[in-house]
Amino acid sequence: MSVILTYLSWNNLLWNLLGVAIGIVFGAIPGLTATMGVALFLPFTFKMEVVESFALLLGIYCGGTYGGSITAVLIRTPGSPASAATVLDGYPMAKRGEAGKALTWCITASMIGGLISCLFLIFFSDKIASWALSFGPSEYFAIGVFGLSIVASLSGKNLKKGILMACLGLLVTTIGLDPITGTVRFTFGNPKLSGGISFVPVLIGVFAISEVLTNLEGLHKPHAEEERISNVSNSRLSWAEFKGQIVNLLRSSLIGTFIGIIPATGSGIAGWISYNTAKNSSKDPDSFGTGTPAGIVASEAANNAVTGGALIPLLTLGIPGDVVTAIMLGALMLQGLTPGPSLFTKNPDVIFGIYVMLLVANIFMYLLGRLGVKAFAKALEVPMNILMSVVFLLCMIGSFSVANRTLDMLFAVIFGIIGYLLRKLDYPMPPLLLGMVLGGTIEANYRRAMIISQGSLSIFVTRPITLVFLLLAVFMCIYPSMQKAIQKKKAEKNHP
Amino acid sequence: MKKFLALLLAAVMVCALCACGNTAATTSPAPEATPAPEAAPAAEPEAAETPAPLDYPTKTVTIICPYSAGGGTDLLARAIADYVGAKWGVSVIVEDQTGGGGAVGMSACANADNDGYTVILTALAAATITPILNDVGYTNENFAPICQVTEMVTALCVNSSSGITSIEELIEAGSANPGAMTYGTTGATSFQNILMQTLMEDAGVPDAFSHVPFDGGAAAITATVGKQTDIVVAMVPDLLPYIESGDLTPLIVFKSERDESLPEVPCAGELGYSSSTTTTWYGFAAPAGTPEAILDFWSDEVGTALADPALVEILSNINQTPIYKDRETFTELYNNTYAQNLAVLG
Repeated sequence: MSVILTYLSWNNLLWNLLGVAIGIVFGAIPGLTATMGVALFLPFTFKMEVVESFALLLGIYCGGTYGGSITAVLIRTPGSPASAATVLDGYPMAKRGEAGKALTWCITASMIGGLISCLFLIFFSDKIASWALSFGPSEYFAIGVFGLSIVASLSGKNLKKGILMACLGLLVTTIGLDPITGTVRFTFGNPKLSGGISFVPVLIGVFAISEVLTNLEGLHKPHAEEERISNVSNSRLSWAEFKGQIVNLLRSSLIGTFIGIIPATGSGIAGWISYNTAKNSSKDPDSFGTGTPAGIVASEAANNAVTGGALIPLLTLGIPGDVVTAIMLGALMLQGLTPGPSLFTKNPDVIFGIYVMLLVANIFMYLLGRLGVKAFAKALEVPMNILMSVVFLLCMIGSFSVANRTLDMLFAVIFGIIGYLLRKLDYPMPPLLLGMVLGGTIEANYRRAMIISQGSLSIFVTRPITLVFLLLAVFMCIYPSMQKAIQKKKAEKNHP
Repeated sequence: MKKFLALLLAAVMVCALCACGNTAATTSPAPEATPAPEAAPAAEPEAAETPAPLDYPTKTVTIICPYSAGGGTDLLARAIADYVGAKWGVSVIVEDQTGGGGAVGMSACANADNDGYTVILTALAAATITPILNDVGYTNENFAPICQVTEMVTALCVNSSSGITSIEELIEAGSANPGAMTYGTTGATSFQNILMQTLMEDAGVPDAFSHVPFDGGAAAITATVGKQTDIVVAMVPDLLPYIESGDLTPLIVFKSERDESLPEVPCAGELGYSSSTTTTWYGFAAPAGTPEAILDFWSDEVGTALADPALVEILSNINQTPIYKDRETFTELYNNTYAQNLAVLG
């Protein structure tokens, strides 16, 4: 206990709090992400103590992963890819007048997810670290396919439209540099496209800008404002409400932690997989997408649980679990430390410092988030025309700052218009995003696996983890229709 | 008065610099190098002797980094930007323009104004491999190399449990079943792949090992540590922790002499693979046509910065040792590497 107290110095706590606050702002602004925040503040840590610098960076990491949910709930625009799945239920809930409650669910689930993953990091990291090493190209391919199979249940009523959108997403990821041969493809000879189309501008386009366009339609209607009454006063959760979500919270946190552990995956995909699992194991799957707290909890607990999970391979093996931890690897090296097994024996004080700071970051995040609920929800009282202008401005800033390119602003607008039109035609957007998140992983790892196996497909059945994920994917695809068949049978039994 | 004095001092310093840089701005077609209006009166007395005093930098300077934030190149750029920015009293910002094997950042720099306010911290691969493999809209002719900042040595490792202890054994194992063993590198356009290709050709077994390009050094190393691939060809600093922990066994260092961080490991030079001895260089370049005086100014300033122990310490923490080469040497190296890679790939 006294060991812990030595890390709770004013300096550490202040940097941590500052980090969380910065993170929440970065997370909440569409286009600015936790990754960017950590990268931007990394140079400030050059001259700090190790634990101080991690207090700041871990704060940004946790805050940034949570922050995206605020705008996801309030204006149907995930502030970062991590919170994309939160939109599905967060926004309908806010629209129903329960914005305060939705935000409280977000921060509560985020904190619990973060804390559970942190406990995993503290108590089990040495035991699960080697697990991360058993993931090779064929395993990543299988996880990618598994992730894609979620399209089956995310597509809503129209599976064909969902598959079409997923294909569009996959197609977009083929633009740019071929991951294996290194040649540039599908760029129409434009060097600016050689980096491909980034994910964030597309996310901003199909969610935020299409939302702005949709709202433009309503501006001239006299009573448009009244639909968006915010009910902040009732932002508390009752014990009964909380109790109903405990299983969901635990399950989602575990999913997030494990996805965090697997290198090269991250919070973006964790939210979707967890959301889908919650939906499939729910007694009332049809309520998902209409504003059920279970959907918010699943997505938010999982994406924040990634934080602790991703630190496990970083600290124990020196392998970053996602992009943010890749930057933290640089931060550790800047301090003259080499992550990996030797870190635990040579610098146990640093490891403890990181543990404590991660725990504290989650608590600060909760405090700031709870304090902020009222202030955040005030955004809804801003007149629509002003709010939408501000959102559009932020969208442009966010798209630009992804790679400092004006081209990305154009992409955001183009995908905004595409998104607006497709929404009118009732095409679901989540499959498009899933396709884009997973396309690169699936393609590159399929081809890597094929090189390793010398062109034999047997690699996908002889490796146990690969096989399990592929079978899970098949199961995911047939599960919704199976569910319907079972329900039908039950109904027949009850009413012969 | 103070301002006037400062300007005067600056002008004197700049003139001194121009004198050192012999050819100076006189030969360059540089309309951008004209001094700002308020500086003109101050510089007048000297201006009679030196035609174009260097009034640089007077506004924000951008260093483009073609690789992702938080990576080695980005950290290097930020450390140097911090240093020279504080010295020059202007903001020097690092702009990450990532993607396309460095092509995005490189073509952004090639198309930027050649007024000296945009430079790039590039690396061998982005500068001399990506543009050969692809029509990305730039070649070596679109850039004016400034100076080398550092270089990195590549090594080849196998998983220690493989039982292979020398490069001869590895080549034997590979040629027994050509294509079955795999080597991972940092990416499709990596220089590591070229080194490996040359090595295999020189050993007389061009198809002994299959190339598996990964997304960065960490992923390639993890794959060999996890026994997904047999061999990893990556930068020495990235490999060191795994060599120290005993997970990986280094077989060869791609260098003409032994590397001081791995003194036990034979180098390509002594093993007779003399064409696989190039190190990966990192250096500054500006868009072609940037005034010579500014290029020299940069080259000198970066040289001074890299000699400062304070900066050296920051860099050593990110496992980078400054290995400075001035403008002339680096320009030659840049163009030679381009020509060599063109011969291998083109």
